[in-house]
Amino acid sequence: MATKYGGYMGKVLKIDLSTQEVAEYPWSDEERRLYIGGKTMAAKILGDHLKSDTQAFSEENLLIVSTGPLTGTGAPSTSRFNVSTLSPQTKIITSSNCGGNFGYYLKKAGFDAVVIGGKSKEPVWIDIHNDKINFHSASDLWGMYTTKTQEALEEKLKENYGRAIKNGKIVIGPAGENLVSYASIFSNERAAGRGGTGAVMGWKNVKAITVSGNHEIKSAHPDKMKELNKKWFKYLRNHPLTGEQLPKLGTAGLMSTMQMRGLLSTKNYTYGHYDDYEMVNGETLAEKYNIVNKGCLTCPIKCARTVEVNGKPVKGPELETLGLLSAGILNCDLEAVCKWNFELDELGMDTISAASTLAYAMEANEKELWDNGLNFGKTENVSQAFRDIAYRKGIGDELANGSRWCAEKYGGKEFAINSKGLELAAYEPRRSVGLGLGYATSNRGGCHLNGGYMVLFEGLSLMVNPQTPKGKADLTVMLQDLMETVSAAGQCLFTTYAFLPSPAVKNPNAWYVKAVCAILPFSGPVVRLLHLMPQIACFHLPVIFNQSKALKYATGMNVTFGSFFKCGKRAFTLERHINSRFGIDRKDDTLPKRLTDVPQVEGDDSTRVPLEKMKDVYYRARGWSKDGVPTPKTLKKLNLDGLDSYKETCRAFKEGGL
Amino acid sequence: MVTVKLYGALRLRCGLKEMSFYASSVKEACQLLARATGVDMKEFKKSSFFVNGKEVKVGTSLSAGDELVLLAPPQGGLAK
Repeated sequence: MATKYGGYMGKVLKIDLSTQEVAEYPWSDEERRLYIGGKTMAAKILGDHLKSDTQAFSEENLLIVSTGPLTGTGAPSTSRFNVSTLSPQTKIITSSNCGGNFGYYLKKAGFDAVVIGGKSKEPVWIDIHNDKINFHSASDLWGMYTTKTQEALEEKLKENYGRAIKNGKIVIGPAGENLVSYASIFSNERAAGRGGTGAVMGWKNVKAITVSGNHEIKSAHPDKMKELNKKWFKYLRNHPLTGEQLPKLGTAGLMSTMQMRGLLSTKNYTYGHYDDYEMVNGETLAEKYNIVNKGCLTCPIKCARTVEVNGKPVKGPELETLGLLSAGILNCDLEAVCKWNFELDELGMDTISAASTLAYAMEANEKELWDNGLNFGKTENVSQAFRDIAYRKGIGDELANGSRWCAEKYGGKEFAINSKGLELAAYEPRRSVGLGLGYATSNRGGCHLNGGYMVLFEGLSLMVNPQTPKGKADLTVMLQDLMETVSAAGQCLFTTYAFLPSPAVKNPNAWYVKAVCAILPFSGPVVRLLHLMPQIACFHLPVIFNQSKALKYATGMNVTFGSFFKCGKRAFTLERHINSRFGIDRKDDTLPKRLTDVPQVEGDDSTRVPLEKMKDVYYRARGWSKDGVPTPKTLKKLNLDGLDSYKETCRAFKEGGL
Repeated sequence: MVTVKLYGALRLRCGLKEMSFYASSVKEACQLLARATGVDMKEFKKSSFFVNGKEVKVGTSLSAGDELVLLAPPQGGLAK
C-alpha cells in the first residue's frame, strides 16, 4: 500500500508464524496521519486485534516491531524502533522504544513495521532482505546469549549472501526462551527492555530477526530537512544536558543530584539517600570505569557507557540499573553492578524489573515472609539469582514472574515497588510527586518515561516545587503527550531534554528561571487550553522543540506544535482505551502504599505522594471519567470514534457501567 | 578546614573531585575553587550548595569540619 507521505516506506509486513505465510498489512495514509508510527501505530493495530480475553502467550497476541517516519531521515537520534505487544508481565499492552540500528535497516529492507502473529512450530530466525522474507531454523542458536546470537547471525548472513552485508538484528536470550515475564529484546547492546517483549518473542519460537536492504528513505522536503537537521545537531551538541552531561556522564550523571535531593531510592525505596553513593555514582563510573562513550546511529548525544568486564569492553549500566543495583540493594561495589548489568543483558532480561524484584525478595526475606537466601548488602549470590531467573530454576522460577506476582504469593504488597505490575525506575517519587502521578498513570505500568518524566522539572533540571501536587497533573499530561508523539515519530526521548532552554539549565539560580519554576505550578489553565484547542498552537516552537517541524518536513503532513501535541493526546488515550478492555481503570493507577502512605521524611507529610488528589485533576485534564476511563466524547474529539470498541464504550457509558 | 566536594560535568571539566581548605562562607569557597582550577567563579556560583547534607544559599557561613557539596548544573538550581 503505497503512501503519498514522505518518511515512510509505505509497507507494513504481516507474518503468520503458524503457517509461515507473509502478506502486506493494510495501513492507510489516514492511519499514518492519525497514528504517525512507532508505539501509536502499534497500539492501533493491537487495538484492532486483541480481545479482552486474549492471553500474552497465545497465537492471537501480536508482536509488533515498528519505526517512525523520522527513522532514517538523518534527524538526530532516529535509528530507533518500537516493540509493542500484550505483556505477560502486566497483562496489558506494553511498548518499548529501543536504540541500536534495527529501525533504520528495517526501513532499508522496505518496511515501516512488522506485525507478527501465530506461533512457529520450531525455533526460527527470520531474515527480511529487500522485501523478501526467509525463515531459517534457529535450533543451533537456541540457548545462546544475546551477543553470541548476534555474532552467529552475522556469520550466517555472510554465508547466505556470499559477502558481509550491513544489517540490523533483534534477538532474545535464554530469559526470553524460558518465558521470564520481563525478558527483553536486544539490538546490538540496546534493549527493548520493558514489559516482557522478549518472552512473547520466545513463546512464538522466534530467536531473532535480521533486516537489510537498499531501499531509499525519502523525506518529503529533503532540503529543508537537511538544513533543519544541521541546526538541530548543533543545538543538541551545545545544550548542557545533551551536549555535556549525557555525553560525559551518561544517564548515571543524574545520580548525585538524586542523592542530594532525596530522590535516590535506597533499600527498596525505604529511604531517598544512600550513604555510600560516592562509590557508585556517575562521576565515579566516568572516572574509573568508562572506556569510551557510544551512541546509536545518527545520535549526537552518545549517552552509552562502555566499561570493562572480564577484560572485555561491554555496555555500562544506565542510571536506573545503577541505582537499583547499588542503593536499591545496599551494594557499594560498582564493578559488581557493571558485571550484573552485562550478565542481565547477555541473559536477555529487563535490568529494572530484575533488580527491583530482587530488592523486593531481599526485603521479604528480611521481614521473614519468604526464606529465599537473598539479603540486602549481600552480593555473592546475586549473579546466581539472575541466572536462576533466566533459566527458571529454584527461587528464580518465582522471581521470573516479577514483584507483583511474588507479593501476591508471599505478602508485602506495600513494598513490591511496581505499578500495574511493572517495576518503577530508581527515582523516588515521594520527593517528586508529579513523577509519582506519572508512574501511576503510565500506560505500560510504572515507567518514568511513559509517565512523562516530571522529575526533570522537579529537581533534576528545573526546580518546580517537588512536594506540591499543584499543577502537576496538567504538566504531567503535557509531557506525556509530547513524549508520545516524539516516540511515535521514531526519535529518542532524550532529545526532549533540550526542550528546556539552554540558558535556564546552565544557570538555574538566575531570577528568571526561579520565576518560571514558581509560575509553572499555576500553568494548568494554559495547558488545559492547549488540550481543548490544540489548533490555537498553529506554529512551531523555535529552537528548543524541532520535532514538529521535522515531522512536517519528513512527511509533508501539515504538522504544527498544536497538532503534534494532539497526536500525543490521541496516542495516550488510545492506549488507555485499549487497556480499559483489560479492566484497567482508576483502581489500577496506583503506587505501593510505602510511597503514598508512609512519608519518606518522618513527620513530614509532604514527602509522600498525594496520588488520589492528583488523579482527580489528571482525569479531568485528560477528558476521562472519574473512574479513569476515556469518555465517548473524548474518544470522538480525538478521532478515535472509528474504532470498533468505540461503540462498546458508548454503550457502557449509557448503561452507567463506567 | 572545610572539605569541598564537586559533582556534575563541571567536576570532569575542571578535573577536581575534592579539596580541603579554610573558608568562612560558601561564597569564599567558590572563590578559592575558581583560583585553584582556573575556572570562572560564576560557574561555581551556578551550583546548588549543600552543607553537611542540608541545602544552603551562597551567603551561608562555614565552620571548621563542614562538608560542602557543590552540585553543578544541570541540577535544577537552589530549592530555596
